[in-house]
Amino acid sequence: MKSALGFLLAAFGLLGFGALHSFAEEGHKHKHGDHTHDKLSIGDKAPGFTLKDQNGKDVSLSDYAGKIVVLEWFNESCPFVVKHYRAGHMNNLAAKYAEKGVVWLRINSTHNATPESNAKIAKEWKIQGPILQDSDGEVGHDYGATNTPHMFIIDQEGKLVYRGAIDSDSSADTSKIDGATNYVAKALDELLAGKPVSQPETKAYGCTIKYAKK
Amino acid sequence: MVCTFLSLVCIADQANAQSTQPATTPKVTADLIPDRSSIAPGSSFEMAIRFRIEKGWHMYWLNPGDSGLAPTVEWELPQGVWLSTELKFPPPHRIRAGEGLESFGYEDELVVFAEGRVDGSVQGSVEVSARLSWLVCQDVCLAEQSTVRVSLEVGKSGSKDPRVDGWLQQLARPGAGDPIKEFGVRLNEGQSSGVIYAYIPAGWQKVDSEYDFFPPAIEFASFDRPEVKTDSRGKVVEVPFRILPGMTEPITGQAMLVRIELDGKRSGFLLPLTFDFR
Repeated sequence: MKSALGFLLAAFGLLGFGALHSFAEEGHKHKHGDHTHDKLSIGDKAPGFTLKDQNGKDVSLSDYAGKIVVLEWFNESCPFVVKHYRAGHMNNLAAKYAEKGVVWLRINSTHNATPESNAKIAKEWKIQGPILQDSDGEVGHDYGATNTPHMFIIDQEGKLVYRGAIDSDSSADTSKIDGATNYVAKALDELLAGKPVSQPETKAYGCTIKYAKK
Repeated sequence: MVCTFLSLVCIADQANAQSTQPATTPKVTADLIPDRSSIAPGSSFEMAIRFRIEKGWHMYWLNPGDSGLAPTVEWELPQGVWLSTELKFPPPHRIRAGEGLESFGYEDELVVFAEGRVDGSVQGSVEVSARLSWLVCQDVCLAEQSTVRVSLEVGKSGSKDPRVDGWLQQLARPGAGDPIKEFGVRLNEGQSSGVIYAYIPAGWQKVDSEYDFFPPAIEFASFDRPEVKTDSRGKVVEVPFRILPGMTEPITGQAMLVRIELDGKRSGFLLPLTFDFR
């Protein structure tokens, strides 16, 4: 049994939409961008976390020590995520590597998602593994996740060995998946063969993560 | 309108739209507008694709920035008519996309152009059909699709559509020349980072304007915000970048320098760049 405290912490994401983004044109402020993902480097120890899955159960990265772990930033209302779940593509990919001992964790840093909404979509989309809810965005910010889908791979030693796009086709078109290079599959194949990851970083594409406003 | 298993993503499809009628999807109204009322056989023309976007929503440039996707077109054309699938864009704007993130895109209205040609053999009225796909975002994003049609009159060269002329003037023009004397890619020592730059010399046109610099869409590089350095020789606009590991071949891409005059007028200059890190 997990603690009652954990249960109490579970469901209350930030409800209600904040004010719509004012898309005030930032124009030509020549401010030097501080891209958050620069904080964590390839080869660094992957930050630990404990989050609730869609059944209200605590899941920690440390539960999978010694295993290869894929983190997939998830938001069911992003067309680029839908692209990869349509026709079972993402589920098939996760299942294919699950057979080889790879753990696949989806993380939802959308501020107003909840374990309950994740449970609903897991059922609808036939998602087998956990969807972890990160309402305050802390885990997303630790990893520098910016997009959905944004993919991270952690090796058997707990080090970050890949971050970036799922594949080389940045469209929202499911029919383009077959012709694209899947960077995650490529990196996993290399890792499982005991080789270093040849393309440890790519530019993520997709939607912006709808983080809680600070 | 077809809604997929996910209620928030609806694919609107107006395949049965009337000829010359615009197609309306939940957030965008799209239509085709040829640059003149009638096109002479054997001549070239420009086709405008106009997207009217619901207030508060936006669409994207070819490099969408930290998130997003540019619109695309697939043409269905009669014999003897050719239209490019490569679209020409006006200068984009920076649109905030969450903390520290920016998209490059357009609000309210986006008019892109495709180059066209009509063979000498074509005469009379022919129908051109475009299957358009785009992403439109506010806080959430919708992937929308629509088929729009227009009747193209082929005969005596007709009068120019003044609206189209105005939109054409807003398109980015290719290459260097006033105001840009020099541009390129400069690598730092170690070759894992560098800047793309454009030099606007003192004495050249409108050196006092503001400049913005939009990087090309390149998978293996991460670009920062532009920095402008002004001295007696003029202005240098630079965008620092970092190479992501794994790139083995040289990559080319088009950046866009945008000049913003005091009255807000924006002009785009397309700059082809080659990134060769070997």
